Amino acid sequence: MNIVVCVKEVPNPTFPVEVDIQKNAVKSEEWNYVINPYDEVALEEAVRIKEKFGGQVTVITLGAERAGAILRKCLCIGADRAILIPSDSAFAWDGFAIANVLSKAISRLPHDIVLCGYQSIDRGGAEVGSIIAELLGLPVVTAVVKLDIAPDGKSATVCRRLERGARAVKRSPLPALFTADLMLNEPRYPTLPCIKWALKQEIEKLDVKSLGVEAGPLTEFVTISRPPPKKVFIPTGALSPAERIKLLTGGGAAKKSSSNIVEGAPHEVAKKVVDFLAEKRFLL
Amino acid sequence: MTLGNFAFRVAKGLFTMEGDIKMTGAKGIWVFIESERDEIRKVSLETLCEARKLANGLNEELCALLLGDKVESLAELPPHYGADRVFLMQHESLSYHNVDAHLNVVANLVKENSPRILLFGSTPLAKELAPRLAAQLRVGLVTDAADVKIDASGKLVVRKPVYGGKAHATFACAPATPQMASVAPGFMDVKPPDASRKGEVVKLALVAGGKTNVEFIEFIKGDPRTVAITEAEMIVAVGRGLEKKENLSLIEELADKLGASIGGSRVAVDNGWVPAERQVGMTGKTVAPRLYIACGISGQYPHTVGMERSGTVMVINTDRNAPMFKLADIGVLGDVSQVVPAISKRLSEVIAPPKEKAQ
Amino acid sequence: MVPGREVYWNIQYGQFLYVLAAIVIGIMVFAFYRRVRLWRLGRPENRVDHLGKRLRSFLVAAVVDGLFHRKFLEMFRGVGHRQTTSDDLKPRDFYPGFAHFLIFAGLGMLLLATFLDFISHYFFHFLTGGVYLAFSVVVDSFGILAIIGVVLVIIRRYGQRPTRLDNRPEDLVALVLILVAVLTGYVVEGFRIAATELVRTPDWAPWSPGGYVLARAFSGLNMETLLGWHRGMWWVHLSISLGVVAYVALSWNRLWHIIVSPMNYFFRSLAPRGALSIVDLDGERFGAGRIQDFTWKQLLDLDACTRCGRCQEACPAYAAGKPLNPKKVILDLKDQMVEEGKSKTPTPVRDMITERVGEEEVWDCTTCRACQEACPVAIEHVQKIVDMRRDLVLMRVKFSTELKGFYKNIEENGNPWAKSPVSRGNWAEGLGIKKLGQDTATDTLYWVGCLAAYDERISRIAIAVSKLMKSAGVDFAIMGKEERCCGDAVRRSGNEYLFRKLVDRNIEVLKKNNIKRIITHCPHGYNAFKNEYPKFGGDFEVLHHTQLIADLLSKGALKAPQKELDKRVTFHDPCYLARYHDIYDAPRQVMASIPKLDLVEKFQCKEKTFCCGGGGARMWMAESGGGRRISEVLLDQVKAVKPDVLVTACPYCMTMLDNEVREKGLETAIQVLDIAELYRNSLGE
Ligand SMILES: Cc1cc2nc3c(=O)[nH]c(=O)nc-3n(C[C@H](O)[C@H](O)[C@H](O)COP(=O)(O)OP(=O)(O)OC[C@H]3O[C@@H](n4cnc5c(N)ncnc54)[C@H](O)[C@@H]3O)c2cc1C
Ligand code: SF4
Ligand code: SF4
Repeated sequence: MNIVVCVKEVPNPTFPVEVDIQKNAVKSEEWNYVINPYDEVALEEAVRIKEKFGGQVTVITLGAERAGAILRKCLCIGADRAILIPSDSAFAWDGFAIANVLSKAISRLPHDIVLCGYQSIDRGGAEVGSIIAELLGLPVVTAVVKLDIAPDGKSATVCRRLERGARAVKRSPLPALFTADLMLNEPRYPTLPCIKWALKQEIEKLDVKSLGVEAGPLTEFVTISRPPPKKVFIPTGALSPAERIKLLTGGGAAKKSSSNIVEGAPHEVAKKVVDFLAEKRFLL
Repeated sequence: MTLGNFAFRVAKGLFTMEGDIKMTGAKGIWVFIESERDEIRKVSLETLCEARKLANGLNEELCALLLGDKVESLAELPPHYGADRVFLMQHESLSYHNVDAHLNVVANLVKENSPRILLFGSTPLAKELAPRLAAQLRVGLVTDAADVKIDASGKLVVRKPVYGGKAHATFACAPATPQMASVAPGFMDVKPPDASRKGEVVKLALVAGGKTNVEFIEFIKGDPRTVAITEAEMIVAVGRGLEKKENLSLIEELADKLGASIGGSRVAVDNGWVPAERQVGMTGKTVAPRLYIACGISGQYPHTVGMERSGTVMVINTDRNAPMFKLADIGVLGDVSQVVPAISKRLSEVIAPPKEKAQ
Repeated sequence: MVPGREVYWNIQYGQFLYVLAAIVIGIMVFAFYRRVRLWRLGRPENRVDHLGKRLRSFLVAAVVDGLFHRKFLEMFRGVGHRQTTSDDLKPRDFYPGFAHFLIFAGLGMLLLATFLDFISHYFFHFLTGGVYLAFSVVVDSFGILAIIGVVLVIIRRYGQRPTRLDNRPEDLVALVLILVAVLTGYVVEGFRIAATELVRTPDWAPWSPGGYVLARAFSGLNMETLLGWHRGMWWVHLSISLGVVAYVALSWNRLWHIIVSPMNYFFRSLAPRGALSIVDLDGERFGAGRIQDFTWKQLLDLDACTRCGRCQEACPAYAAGKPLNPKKVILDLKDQMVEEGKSKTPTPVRDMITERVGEEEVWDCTTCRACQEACPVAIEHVQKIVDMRRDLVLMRVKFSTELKGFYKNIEENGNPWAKSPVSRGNWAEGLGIKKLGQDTATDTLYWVGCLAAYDERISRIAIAVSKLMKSAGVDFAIMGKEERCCGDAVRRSGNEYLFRKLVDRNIEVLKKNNIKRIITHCPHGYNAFKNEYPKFGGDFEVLHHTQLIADLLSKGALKAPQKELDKRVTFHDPCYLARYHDIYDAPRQVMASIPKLDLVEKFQCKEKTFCCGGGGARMWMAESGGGRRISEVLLDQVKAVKPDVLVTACPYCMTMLDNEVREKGLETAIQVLDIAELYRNSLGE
């Protein structure tokens, strides 16, 4: 069973995101980069399938040279081959353009299964997997939380995550593409012998031009901005003007305020609380 | 992918419109409407209301696309929220989970009618359907929009949260039509419906099903009581402030009303109020639900490292100085055993008795 | 006539003894060699370094610990500080220590006597006259003491049956053999005295009290019978004694500890207590997953164990009802060693960790070192447990989800939580604390550590420490967002690879900033910088804040506290301070400087301190294996002295205790403070 896994590096989500309005960009000097958690789950699944059915796992990424680091991590986890398609401008590309390049690369590789992460945690498009499938003409199921390959290797029964814990069970012929949800598995921690092996492997490079990609992006990036100010619910209006301004200018990054406290008779409090929940759209 | 193996004909019947759908060129805004057991999904209504504004700006028609198995009863609703026309197609192959069938139908409809803009509400179906459709049609798509606009040149301009919501980025779709976007839930307002508003309902029939690759086998209902705490969208968490096991029924009532799952602090687990796999925190699970309600939890660091990425945090505590309040979007100073039942009571007044929700 | 004794009196062919002895010695050598082969299953390790130092300390220990049994004489420990109940004043190990001393001294004396007899007989005839009588009375009494000792031990083992002892047949065999050997000796002596001294020189007889009593009993018999019995019993005694030795040798009876335990002491680790062994990352195997992965010395440890159970009694995990029992770990490994020594197959019959020692046991350890402190024969438990963790982590990746998250976070963020490294210095905002590289050229670094950087409760310690250092005019800086995890818990959980990455990175940054001196409030960081970083090229002067405060106070650089406390205070000694570094006076000096502070010591304090349960990365692991939390057991000890304030000097102890106190609803009754906070609260500012 040959499996291709599309992975991507993303900025470590613990780092603060500050927008430089002048440059129309985020300040990324201090960032470090990690493998997109959804992709890591996809890779883990691929490795597990390989361990059961044999075959080869190839990881492929489109990104900066720096992304070689996450490919090496993939080798540690159990990928057999790692391919980097270098591009410094990949972030400016949209889901279609990225998927287009990847699908061209995948079409040259033997693949019984293509696995992607359900979404990336930076752009959050949740689209690349589906587009690759469309371009390759593969059946696709996204947000998979369970993946069982039939013993004959001809089909897969998958469980797709829906909302509020619901699931849909589906069956797809193979070859197919699946995108992995975080609940699919728990990625392994590599053994030291695997890490040492991976450090010695070579990362293959594939030139975008050699892939003969014609179509470009279908959307263009316009601006990046701070998130709009969170609507802060102020039942008591007890905030000082300074605090209010801070909340407004700080947007979503604003420190939550402990002065937003309601008290009083339970039924009055309950009314305020329910209004709050309704405003925040938590009521079904 | 095979295309064009559909034939449409207008069903004559109860609804007003007769004749073939006119080829209008790239004109009009379409909204893909989804239903969930006898109701139009809220995010579809949000999208529809927002689309109405765009349609007004363009002065073009707003069409609702209602596909599914037995959805006819809902067809008159989209006009109440601003749709001018409703395309209704019913067929058993158009069950919610059959993405391939939806894709074939929508692709053909779009090709034949060339809408200028096609919007989806961001749902599990749309997340699979919209990117495939856009790829097939080679048109631009922006998913999970927080805001959609049309700029002077007629391009669809979409703003969406990126980096986990820590910034918002704006993208513009290429001129190829339809320009597509899916709208994230909870960003747009739903206007109160205007029941007097009527629109024409165009009933389409699916004559032959397209090729379906992925076969739907079964639907498994989600139950907030049993769903893994890491997957829960809303969590009501209890701590020592619950005081006694008997009070747990109050929490369960609130959780059921909200459709939330129950979690707890280490004390709650030690006391046997909450099973160990529902402990939130450093030596428990790390969770990031949309809503986290901390009932009688003081907010010690080993607990908060496990929940600080939650969307909205509500805190109920008798101690004004409890560190938990520092994370609160709304805090309630009061006794859990009094406040929680009061909230449950109020909730029953506000929301209709919960229907069986399912896709 | 001069008092004296004729060797081989009444015995023919007595010299045959030497042949028998030679045979027995041969058997011993053979048995020992078989054991050496077992030890050599292990990897090489240099334990003959610093020979001079080894010999010296061996001799000192032989005299102090061996001859005088220092451990049981520790009855004076605890006098001088107040404890709750008078019972606690008794040294806990008096009874077994005393009994062992009697047997040890008795048998030692008998052996010595035989040797001196030999010398006196063949070389230098000095055992005559008064000397002989004195010799006789001493030796005879020691033999009696040995018998008393054996009886005491039998009472303890089979009457009192303390939990820490597991009775095996070999124990009874050993005791009975000793008893039989000694008693037959007295019988022989009794016949001799009855036949000689009682008849000829009755004044001498009582100088051999043991034999005298028996001789009186035999005195009614006629001479012929006495001589016959004497001859018979002489051979019986001889064969039994030599037979005992041969049997002990071949069955590898526990009495081998007489030889192996001192050996083990001789070869003990001379490294600082807190320095774990270094894994060769270029090798093929990392850690210990099979018995062969241990070093020969670690295997020698297994044979040195006397099964005394002191480690078991000292272990906090065991006390809390966890599966871990350090004694059992050692004995399980010993069984594994024996089995693998016999086995001809390349793979072990039973997996050493999962099927012998137990995974849970391996993870339960807090690396508190209480077991090693208690062990009379210098067995090194912690290193073995860490070696097994290394195998689980680096070779098998078998560890809990929490640890996986812990490693991942440290790799990606430099701290155990998913916290941004950029906000690491946020606690210091607005305090006017210098940050490295920005506005200072100091060579003194205040190492803040992960807990204080992010946990608001622990940040308060850092704030107190910085404020007092500033007031004392200490020129220091913090690293702010450049600081990363020091790696202590990473290493102790077995992830040597990640630890090394951290060490390399930290040393590079510290050197780049010309840091010479590191001050920290964390005993774990203290240990890492003091004992582990030097092995990787990071040599710094390291100070714990308790030392710093005590020092500054004594120099007068820090203001003496003014405010009267008037509260009962107890101090919880952190393991990594007290037991690893013998630092327990400094915090007490600081407390003594506070007016009216009433210090009550807990039942277990100073080097006997009971762990909080947070060390060895336990803090990041969920409780497992049933039992209570270690911190709950510790809190019981704290509650017993009814303090108003519980003071400690470690962020781990603080986290464990502060939360435990709150969870038991005691937060208003017991205030938990760091020593630095206690000091600052007493300034009366
Ligand atoms: C190593 C370690 C790991 C840990 N891991 C975790 C973990 O994973 N998860 C976790 O949760 N904890 C963990 N803890 C424990 C944690 O530190 C706290 O002790 C624990 O979270 C406290 O739980 P609590 O808030 O329920 O109780 P408390 O801290 O005792 O707080 C109870 C709160 O309830 C309030 N209250 C009391 N009565 C009422 C009432 N009637 N109505 C309203 N409010 C009331 C009080 O004001 C108080 O604020 C860990 C601790 C350690 C040391
Ligand atoms: S180090 Fe402490 S916890 Fe570990 S075995 Fe020894 S006594 Fe027990
Ligand atoms: S390891 Fe040491 S303390 Fe433990 S039983 Fe053996 S000899 Fe005694």
